[in-house]
Amino acid sequence: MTITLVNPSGLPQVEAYRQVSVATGSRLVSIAGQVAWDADGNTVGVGDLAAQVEQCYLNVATALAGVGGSFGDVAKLTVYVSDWHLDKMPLLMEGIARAGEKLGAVPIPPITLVGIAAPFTPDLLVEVDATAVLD
Amino acid sequence: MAITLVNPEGLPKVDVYRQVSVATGSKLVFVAGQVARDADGNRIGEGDLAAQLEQCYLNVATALAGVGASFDDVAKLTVYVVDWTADKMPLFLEGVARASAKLGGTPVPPGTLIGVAALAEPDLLVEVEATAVAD
Repeated sequence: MTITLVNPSGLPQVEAYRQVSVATGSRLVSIAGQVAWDADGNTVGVGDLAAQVEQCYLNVATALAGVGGSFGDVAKLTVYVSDWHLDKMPLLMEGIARAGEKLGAVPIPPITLVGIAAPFTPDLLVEVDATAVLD
Repeated sequence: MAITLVNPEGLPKVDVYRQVSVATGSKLVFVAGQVARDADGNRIGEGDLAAQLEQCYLNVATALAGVGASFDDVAKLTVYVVDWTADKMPLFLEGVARASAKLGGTPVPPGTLIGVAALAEPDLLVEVEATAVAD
């Protein structure tokens, strides 16, 4: 496994993610921001943040599968959400949980959540940026 | 070549970028977000998204040249745009096209475009963040 996840002392321990990842490997995998598009570019889960989060995570997994990796190789996630408000957190967690069921494990690499002013197109509620490391 | 660009099965194929990059090399190059300033710090392209984006891309290339790298070594781009709406896409493409003409090739590494509330200074419409890997 190329990624070690760590919660160092002195930082709050958050269930949904680990604070630090240490990644070793010879290949840095960068992925274009993933949105709730299916393989044909149609938007999945219109108006449904949980469904869109799930699709973004699944797309990240698909991207990594295409280069011989998996979600376990993700070193860092950044999640950009439009119209973010803290009361939407359960929807975010629901989407991640659903993706986790399909991926075989709930992803918990270091993550940054950012509320953005505008998505690429208005129907896209969330975008997920992932960086991974492979042997 | 340190960077391989891939469009994995199961994700939509988008003209202007590839979904995944796999980078090998001993040097990880982080570039400060580039904005529409010339070498003397003068404002470029006020009110002109295409001109500003062109300058950002050219500045990224200049930054990389300074460490012996080039746009071919870019693993990932993140583009932050103020007042983004999808109907500005032609301006975006125009800026990339103009930069490409000067760079001698069209950069298509994985990209993420984010609509933001503000950048560091009020005239800035766009900022480009690049990560590269060099041998």
